[in-house]
Amino acid sequence: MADSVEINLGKGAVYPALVVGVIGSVIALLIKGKSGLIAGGFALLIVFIFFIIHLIISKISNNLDPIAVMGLALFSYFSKVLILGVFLLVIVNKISIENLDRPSFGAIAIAVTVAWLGGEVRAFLKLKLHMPLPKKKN
Amino acid sequence: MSTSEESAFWTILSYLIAGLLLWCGIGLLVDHFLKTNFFVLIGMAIGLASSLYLIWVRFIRIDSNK
Repeated sequence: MADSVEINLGKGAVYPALVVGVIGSVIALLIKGKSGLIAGGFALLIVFIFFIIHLIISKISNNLDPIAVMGLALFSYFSKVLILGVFLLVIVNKISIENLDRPSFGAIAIAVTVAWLGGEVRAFLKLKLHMPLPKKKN
Repeated sequence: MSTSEESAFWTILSYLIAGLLLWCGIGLLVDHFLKTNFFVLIGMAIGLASSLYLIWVRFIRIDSNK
């Protein structure tokens, strides 16, 4: 059985994001030491969780009415923003700069996000989706 | 967007904002009186869950039953 669109998109995005995240973490380890590596790991984890939630929502809403899809999408964006805010607050207040390097975290998170989106776009362009054509008027 | 879609959008947004404001507010009050700092997070989770429940009942469950 062929994989669904979401699984194909996920597969196409995971590998480039993982490669970029690992390379970024190694560079951060070399430049900043252990705190850079921890920052890279956190950044990779956060970006993966967020995009996997996005794919799950997309999978759940496959056969739903557009308004129901809008409801799920709004809810997922709201919860993502809130959870990210809470996560950043916890990092800023509870983890010291010596243990988690902030600039490395930010740079790796952005790089992994760009790689994930690039991979997803590439996987989407490779998919041969059958688009319904409008009916001809006789 | 048609009128029904627009009203659905505002309804969903108001469920999300109202749920969060209400439950985060209750969490903040509990934190204030008990001198703790985690009830606001519990309130946030309850607010998100309750707004999802309302969205589910109002828009998704009805759609699945069609």
